[in-house]
Amino acid sequence: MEQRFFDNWATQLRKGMLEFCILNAIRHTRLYGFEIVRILRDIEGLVISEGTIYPILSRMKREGFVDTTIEESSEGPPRKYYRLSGKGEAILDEMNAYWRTICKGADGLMKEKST
Amino acid sequence: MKDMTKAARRRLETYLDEVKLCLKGARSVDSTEVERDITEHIAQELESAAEPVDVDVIEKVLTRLGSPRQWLPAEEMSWFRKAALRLRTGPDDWRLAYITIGTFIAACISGPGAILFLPLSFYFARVTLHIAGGAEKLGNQKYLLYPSLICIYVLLTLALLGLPLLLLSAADGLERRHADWGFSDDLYYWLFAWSVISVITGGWWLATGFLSLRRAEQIYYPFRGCIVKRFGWGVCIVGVMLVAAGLISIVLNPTWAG
Repeated sequence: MEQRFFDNWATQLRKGMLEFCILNAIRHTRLYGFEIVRILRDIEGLVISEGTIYPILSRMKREGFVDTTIEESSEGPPRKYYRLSGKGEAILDEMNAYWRTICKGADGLMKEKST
Repeated sequence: MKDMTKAARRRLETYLDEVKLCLKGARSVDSTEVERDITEHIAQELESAAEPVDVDVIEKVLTRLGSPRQWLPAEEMSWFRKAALRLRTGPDDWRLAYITIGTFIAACISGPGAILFLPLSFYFARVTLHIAGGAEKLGNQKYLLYPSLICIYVLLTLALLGLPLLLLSAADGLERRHADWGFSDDLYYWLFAWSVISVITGGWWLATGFLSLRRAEQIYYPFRGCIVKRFGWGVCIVGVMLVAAGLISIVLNPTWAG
């Protein structure tokens, strides 16, 4: 029962976090899909199903949060690079600020409990 | 894409078909673009793999990518589409469960066709249980199996309990010879016949009830709760009562007294 509760909670948390982390990954640099997956793979517990990242990228492109460019690659097929758009930067600033506020509040609660 | 073994190629094609199927009609994403991204991702994952790429290598990559059914938010798909996907894809799919309920419904609406569809539905239900290794591992799928299982178990039980009633036709056939056996009256003969049938039926029910108690798990799989136990006890008690009533009635038959 506890495990099920934790799994549900973790799934809900991951859903929002994945979009947040994707946008932050391409905040200062352009990356192609596989690179984004590799970066997020290193965050333990964040990506359970790597394929989820691609529909999120597609949705963000539709929303206008990211721009894409296709470039030839010497190592294989042409690569599609993702970069944050102006609209994406604005929403990410808002998201980061919101995240910091939430984290601060939650950290405060955890510290209160431990002291 | 790298050169692959036949099995690896087949596995990859099945996966990409599933991707296509799951993304088809999705409103929030460009399905063609996502399919292309996934194909590129797989190609990049396989860059360092030795040729021909083996199915195990492909399987690892696909496992990391996960089931395409998990990629889109649940609200993006209609219930009809979700049901269709479950029928067509995945190792953790509901195909057998849906086939079970489908054949059960066919049995209910096809009249005489039930003779074919009901046992078929029961067979699929038991196969599903066998593959899953128990009803508890099936989650909500089990409710699609229960109608055909319950129906067959009820019919089987009724047939088993009613089996001794076949003796009635035998008693009817022997009625003409009752005078040879010393019965002065039809009534006394039938009293005796019913008493014997009661003893045999009681004995049979006692055995059936006892078997239900001892082997409930095998006979009524996956049901083994208190209802089955209570039923077993009930049949045993009625069986004992029938045997006792039959024996008393045989002893008290006026033919012997006369």
